Amino acid sequence: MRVRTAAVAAAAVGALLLTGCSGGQSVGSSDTLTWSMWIGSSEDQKVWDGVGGTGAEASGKKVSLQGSPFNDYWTKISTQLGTDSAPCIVTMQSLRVNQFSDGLLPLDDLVKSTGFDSDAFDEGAMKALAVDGEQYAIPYDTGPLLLFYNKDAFGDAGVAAPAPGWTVDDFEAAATALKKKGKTALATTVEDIFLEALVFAHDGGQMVDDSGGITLDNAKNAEAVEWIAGLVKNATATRADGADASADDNAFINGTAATVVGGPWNSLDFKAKATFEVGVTTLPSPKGAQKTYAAGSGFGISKTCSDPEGAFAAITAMTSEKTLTSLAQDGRAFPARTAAQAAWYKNAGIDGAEETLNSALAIAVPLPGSADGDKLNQLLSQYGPQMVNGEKPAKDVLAEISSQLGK
Amino acid sequence: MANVPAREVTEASAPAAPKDHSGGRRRGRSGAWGVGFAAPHALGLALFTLVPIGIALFMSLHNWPMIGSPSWIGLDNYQELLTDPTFRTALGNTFLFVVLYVPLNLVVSLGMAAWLSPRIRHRQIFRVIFFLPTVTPIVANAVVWRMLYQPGGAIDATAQSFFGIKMPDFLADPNWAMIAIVVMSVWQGFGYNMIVFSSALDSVPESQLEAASLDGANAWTAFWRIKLPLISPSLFFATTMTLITSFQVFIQPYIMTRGGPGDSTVTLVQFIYNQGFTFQKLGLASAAAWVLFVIILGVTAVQFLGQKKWVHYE
Repeated sequence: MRVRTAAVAAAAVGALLLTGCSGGQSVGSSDTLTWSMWIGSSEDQKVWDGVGGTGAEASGKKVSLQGSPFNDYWTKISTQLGTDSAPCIVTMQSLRVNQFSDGLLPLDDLVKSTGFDSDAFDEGAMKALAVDGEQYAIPYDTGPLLLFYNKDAFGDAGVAAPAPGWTVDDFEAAATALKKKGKTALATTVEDIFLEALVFAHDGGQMVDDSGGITLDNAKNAEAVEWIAGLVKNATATRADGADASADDNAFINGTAATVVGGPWNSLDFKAKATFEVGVTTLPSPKGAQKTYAAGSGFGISKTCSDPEGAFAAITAMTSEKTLTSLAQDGRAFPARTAAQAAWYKNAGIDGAEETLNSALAIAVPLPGSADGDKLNQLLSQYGPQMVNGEKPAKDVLAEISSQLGK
Repeated sequence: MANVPAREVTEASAPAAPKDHSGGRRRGRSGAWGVGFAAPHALGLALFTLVPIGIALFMSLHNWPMIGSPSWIGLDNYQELLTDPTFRTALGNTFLFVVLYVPLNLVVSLGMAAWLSPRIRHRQIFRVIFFLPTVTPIVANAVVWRMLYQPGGAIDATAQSFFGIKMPDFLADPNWAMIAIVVMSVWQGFGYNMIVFSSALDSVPESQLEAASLDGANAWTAFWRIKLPLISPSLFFATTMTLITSFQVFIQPYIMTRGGPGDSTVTLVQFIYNQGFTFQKLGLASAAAWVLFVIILGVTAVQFLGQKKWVHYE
């Protein structure tokens, strides 16, 4: 009797375990390299599948693309890195690399042993993906933060197309003219990279310093945020929305706001979705003190990858001149490889893009990353709207965020 | 659960049978089958509930970064929680949500169920309509409600054009954000309890209501004195389940406010999520999860103790 009880129970357990097992998937099996990437649309998927194909050809292995939306990507990758389920090839953003460097393999030995030519890449883009002198990813794109604008709205308001290097005063004059036509000038955001760039361009205020320390508590940051808050109060900027990271892009695309901060990687999406003509210029800075940040992304290898050599071969192909040229032709990414950059200009389809980019690239400095980067971004999304929308003094809100980060 | 009454029925149907050898064997065989049928569920419970709870307790006693190796720190995580003002705020926000949401949900769902009596024509259609928000994905609901609440959104625009009043920016105003979330949550969640109450009210015996009315009870008295006591088991079930789920509130604030403005809508589960997945402190997140677990366990236990006073099983 007892035997039978045990047998029935054992059968049930067996069935349960079998169903459990079949649900699991083998990550990084010997003939597959998993590659994690942020994917925003089916167009994205198609392009990156193509890039994965070049990696597969070079490494002789299947490259399987795991996509997730940008904001979820960082949550997902932080749970995967350091475990056996980590993807082999990890897409990394320059300002987040020091947050994840513990889970990534330093590539310097592989660069040396394979004779990889680092000099063919933009120096700043390479440096931005290194931590303490060790290279953690090979960049595929780079780019200064710029200001995209609605050419039709500017034309209607009688504002001349803003030339690269335009000033804060020029911007304010344009904003006033746009307001007369019932248009809001700026789509605001509290997302780290875009807010930090706008603040930095305005008066050189840095929320994160070059060594990765959070430096919210300085007068320049508060002053720049108060400037944005003034625009919001004046109805020349949209209210920031912390819960919706794409609110600023949407406001620009649907014509609510006439300008938005973005990188070259945004241009394809803006052009495809906007029903007006898209222009691009530099971020407004004081006269003679033009500033902007540059950020980029690249491919790294997780520490737990069973075949780093194969993964590096794939990455080499995925960042080859041919691949990056084709990405540039799609307007997807402004190539980190200098030789491929001409293709981007040719195909950007935005008049004056080359002049703007050259002007911005000449003065751009890498956007510093911090080990607390995601925490800062989360706190900005919670507290940021209060200061950008002028509900609380920027100084107080910035102090509140830094006190929470200090713990 | 179904095998328990079945067994009672077998035993009851043969009350006079002597306790002979064959009877014992039959009971033994059914016992084996019982264990067999219960095993998958019991194992599932152990594997997917008890083991994770145990692991979480273990993790909560460690400094457990997402990447890198954990180290034992004893009760330090719990101590950190006690001194963390963000955690206290999250705790306070969660209690505020529970205190606002649970009574409102019960009142609305009970009111709707009482109104949807069999005398209402097409009551099935109304039932389906009121139940719809519960079966639509909560994320989609939250996104739609975000749009309703926005300045210039449906609520603000309606108020402006009909009454000329400018509504506050509900989700960006620290005084309104939690109320806005509670209202959305009640709309989203009352359908389930309404169905439970509605079927309980339907099963109140007509004879008792008739007797009450012959004794001179009006509809109001009949509802309070007859119907409500008779559906008290359903009320107890609904209260308990609603309390448990409302302590775990996460999606509504996460989608609609991200915990903002400031920390005015950060709930316990969002605190846990942030600590674990954004700040990568799995140990601290596990400790907070354990605190939540104990709170829910405690509140549920109190309810079970209290039910003797007001729940009538007949």
